Amino acid sequence: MKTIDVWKEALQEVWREGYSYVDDNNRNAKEKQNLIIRIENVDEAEVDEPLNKISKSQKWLYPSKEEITNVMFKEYQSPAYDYTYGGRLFNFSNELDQINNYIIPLLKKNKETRRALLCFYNPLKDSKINNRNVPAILYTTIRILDGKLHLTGLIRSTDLFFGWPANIYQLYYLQKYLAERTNYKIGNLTTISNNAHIFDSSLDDMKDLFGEDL
Amino acid sequence: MNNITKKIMFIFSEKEAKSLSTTELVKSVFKEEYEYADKIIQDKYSDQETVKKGKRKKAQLHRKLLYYINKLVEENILFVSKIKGRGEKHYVINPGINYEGGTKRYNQSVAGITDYQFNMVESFEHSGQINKFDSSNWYRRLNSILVEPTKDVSDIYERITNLYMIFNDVIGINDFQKVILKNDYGEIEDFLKKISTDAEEYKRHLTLIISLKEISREKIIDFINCFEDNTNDRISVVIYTDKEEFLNKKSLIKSLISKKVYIQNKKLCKSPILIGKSGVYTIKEQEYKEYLNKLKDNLIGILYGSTTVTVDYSKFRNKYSEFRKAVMNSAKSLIIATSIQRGKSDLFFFNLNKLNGKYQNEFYRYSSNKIRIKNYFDNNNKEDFSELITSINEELAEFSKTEETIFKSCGIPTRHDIKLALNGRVRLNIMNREDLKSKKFKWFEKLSELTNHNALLIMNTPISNEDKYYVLKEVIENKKVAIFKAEEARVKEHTLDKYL
Repeated sequence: MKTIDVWKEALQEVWREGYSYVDDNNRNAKEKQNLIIRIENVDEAEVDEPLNKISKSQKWLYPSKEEITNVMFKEYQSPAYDYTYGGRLFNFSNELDQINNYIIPLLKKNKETRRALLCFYNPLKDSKINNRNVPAILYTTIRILDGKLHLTGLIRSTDLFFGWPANIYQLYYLQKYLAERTNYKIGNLTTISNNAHIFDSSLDDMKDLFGEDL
Repeated sequence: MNNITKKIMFIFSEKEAKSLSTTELVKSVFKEEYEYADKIIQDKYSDQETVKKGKRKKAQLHRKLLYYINKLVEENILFVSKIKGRGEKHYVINPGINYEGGTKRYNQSVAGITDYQFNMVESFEHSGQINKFDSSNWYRRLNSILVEPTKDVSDIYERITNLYMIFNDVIGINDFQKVILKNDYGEIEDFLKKISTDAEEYKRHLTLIISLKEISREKIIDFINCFEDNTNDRISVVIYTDKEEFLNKKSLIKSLISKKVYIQNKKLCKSPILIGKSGVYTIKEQEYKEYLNKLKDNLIGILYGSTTVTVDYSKFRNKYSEFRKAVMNSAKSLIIATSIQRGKSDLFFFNLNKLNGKYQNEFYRYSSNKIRIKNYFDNNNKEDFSELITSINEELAEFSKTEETIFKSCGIPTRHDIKLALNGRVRLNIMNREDLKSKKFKWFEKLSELTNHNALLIMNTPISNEDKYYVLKEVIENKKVAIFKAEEARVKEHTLDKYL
């Protein structure tokens, strides 16, 4: 199934079955807990298609693909950001390069490992009551099965319409990056969203994107 | 890349992150010529003319090298790390540049900072309806910064000097009365002369914010006289006060308002107001309070303004929908600009980040972008214009909030806050308190409110200090104008789009 279709199904599910609430910024939203979205046959699934589609919006500006991947792979955290995924991956707490000094050597040494985990969330920096800028992707796990590298990302809070296309694209690139460096094929790509939500204000934008199909 | 630039890059790669002075660089780049010039200067058999020739040669080599160094500083390849001795600058290479790669990496870095396309405003720019402030460095520099004072005036001078390549409009020094109190008259005078010269050279502005609470009458009058004698129009003094002080310090206020100072009503606008070329800069009251309570001790100051565009209202001939489109397209281009700026903040703002240390990300927390409107004052549909501005403000607020959500949800936690402001300043004839009831004055008040006091008023006022005082007292007590200045009526009423 193509990623765009998977995404559309997820949006429909949350919109129709989600729990209605008002968030702490006074925005109406619908939410589903622990939503699992799995992309199989990732290389043929056109993972970038949701991103391509939403980037064409006339109304809103979406970050460029370059920017979206830069935050995942730029090793040096830009000083203007509270965090970047790349900074957390390659220089976690100014101490650990999780990619080059942990995950790649681990996967090369032991393909059966169940410890292949990459952390983005740092409680020392992020678990502060007034801190509203904390990573949405908390961690990813990698599992090698049948010679394929499967990646699962746990996301604490997913704006399913605006955020998920970028998150899945970032995780896909991470998966690809690791697969190339460990000589495995690309397996499934899964996101688990603790809180997958859609703001009511996004409904018109969703209709613009998908038409009455939605 | 030319040979001299190559040599400069090579020298830094050999020295590995060391800070190098201009002289050290000249000696290395023009080794033979410098040594020869030095030799003939030192030679006891050289006559006066020959020695002069040697000194001229050295000066020539300095000037020649400075040309290339300044280009590298403009391109953020080099930064001024310190100033020593008689104002000699030392430089470091941007750590984002891998100088071991030398030429190749330099070319990549410069190529990487491309001129991004801002297509949504291109057509408006061609017709002169929209202008980017400092277009060649539009997103490579920050517009305005507020810095906290240091005890020693030489420290604050060094700090500002390190930041000239970081900002492109105005830097404000908060609580400048503390600097006045801790340093003697001669040092302050020297400081004022130097910042004036530097501001002119770099085409920047400085605002010195002074609170009257802690400083004696004698000290402040001495300072203001010194300020008037030793500075140019690029340096402003803002007296940060309120109506109670106007009443309780009447004699002092009367002395001050006869000088070229601005008055800020801190009850209307809590954050110190900075006065730049494009207009005034403020931050929200709540955010300024947060800065004071939680961040001030950890930072050198706070970022006020990131990037600015100006929209010329007169070029839309009351076509409101076109004007709105231009403003919203400007907002989109500002989102892109801010995004680039933040993403490359390690490259663009190295000196600044170094000064803020581990709290460097907090420095950017409260900044905003401005869409400044020009040629708006004399339009004939003031009611419609007010409504238009109100509704655009609402649309911008919603747009900024949604864009911030979008970027955050993509893992890019960037603040996006875009506000309307007025360009330049307005000058009105206010010769007595009755003039404060005029249509023009009320119109200005309204605009000031609509733009959250991002509006600067110059008043042509009575010559007598007594009359002037009562006019200004009325403004600070009862009017909604946060920043203003009283001048003698030598210039006609107008709206100026440029500060200078």
